[in-house]
Amino acid sequence: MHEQDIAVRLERLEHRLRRRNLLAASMFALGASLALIGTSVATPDADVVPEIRTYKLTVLDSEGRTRVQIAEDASDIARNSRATGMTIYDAKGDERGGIGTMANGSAVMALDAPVGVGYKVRDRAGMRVAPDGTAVITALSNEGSFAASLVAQGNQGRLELSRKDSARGEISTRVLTFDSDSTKVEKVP
Amino acid sequence: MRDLEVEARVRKLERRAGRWRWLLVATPVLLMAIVLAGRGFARLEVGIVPEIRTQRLIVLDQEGRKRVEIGEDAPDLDIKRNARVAGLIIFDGNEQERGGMVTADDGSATVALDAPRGVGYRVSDRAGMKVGADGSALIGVLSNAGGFAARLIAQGAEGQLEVSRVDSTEGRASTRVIDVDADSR
Repeated sequence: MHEQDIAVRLERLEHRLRRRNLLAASMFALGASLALIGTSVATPDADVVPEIRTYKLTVLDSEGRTRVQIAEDASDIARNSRATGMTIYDAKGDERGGIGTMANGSAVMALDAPVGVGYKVRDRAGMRVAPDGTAVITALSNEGSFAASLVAQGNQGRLELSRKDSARGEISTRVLTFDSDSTKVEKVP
Repeated sequence: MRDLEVEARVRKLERRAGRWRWLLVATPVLLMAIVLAGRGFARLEVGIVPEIRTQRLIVLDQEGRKRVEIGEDAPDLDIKRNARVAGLIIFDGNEQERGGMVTADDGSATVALDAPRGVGYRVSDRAGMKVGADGSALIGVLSNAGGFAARLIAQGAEGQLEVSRVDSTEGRASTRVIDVDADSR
């Protein structure tokens, strides 16, 4: 009876050990597969990510300062219209320009003067295509007015050259078109 | 005596086998967890990362060539520039720099497009706009002969147009300057 009992228990143990060996072998195979899959997936990921989708991309310089940001403006930004695109920043962390589309339907590229240089609205050079297709390439003076612009409107182009006379409070603008050359004088708004 | 010894050894074996019984339960749970975690990661990869912060972003074309780079110039950059810049640089299919939109350490902000390497004058800038540290602005196109061919300038309180031509025999540039009330050469 006792021998029989031992035999049963031994058989049970042998069965368990066989099962455990099988499990160990399976675990080893699974581990090896996962390691291989991990390696093959990780290699391209580490070098090249096929696509990145994000709401905001910030590129920092070696000092940790933001120098480029690609994103949509914050909803409370102080701008004529909310923009989405790329903004560049100088080494002092001030916005110095960008390229983007605006909520008002225009597409704009602009460069700004450093903070504290010239007129408070710092745009100094840029190009803009309005929602109606009108296009402007312009350079603005530190006095805060358009100084030289190329304009495409309707079926023709024109060159506008301006001078601001702060003492008189006037802006003189010479307008050259295909067949005319005229000067207009306006009060500074 | 021998029976007792056998009994003790069998009991010991049974205890050992019982000790690892949890593995049978734990293994499927572990596998399930790995699968679920994998699905979670995959969702992150194909989804949207709320914000990415980096010091350099490089965009490659299908051939693996660098076509766009956003970052700061490396200190040992092999291209000669007036000042170290940070911003976006574009590259052509030969991985030659062809332009960019940057701020520079000299306080300027610039957008520029370049001619392919080996075409025209050795300084490859051909079109662009720049706002200097003093707030002066210019928008210009440059010829393959070198120098500005035409540019709009805002300086002081006024603007002007300059149109230039380089005399290849004399190597001198003639410039016509048009402003609000004059047209001079």
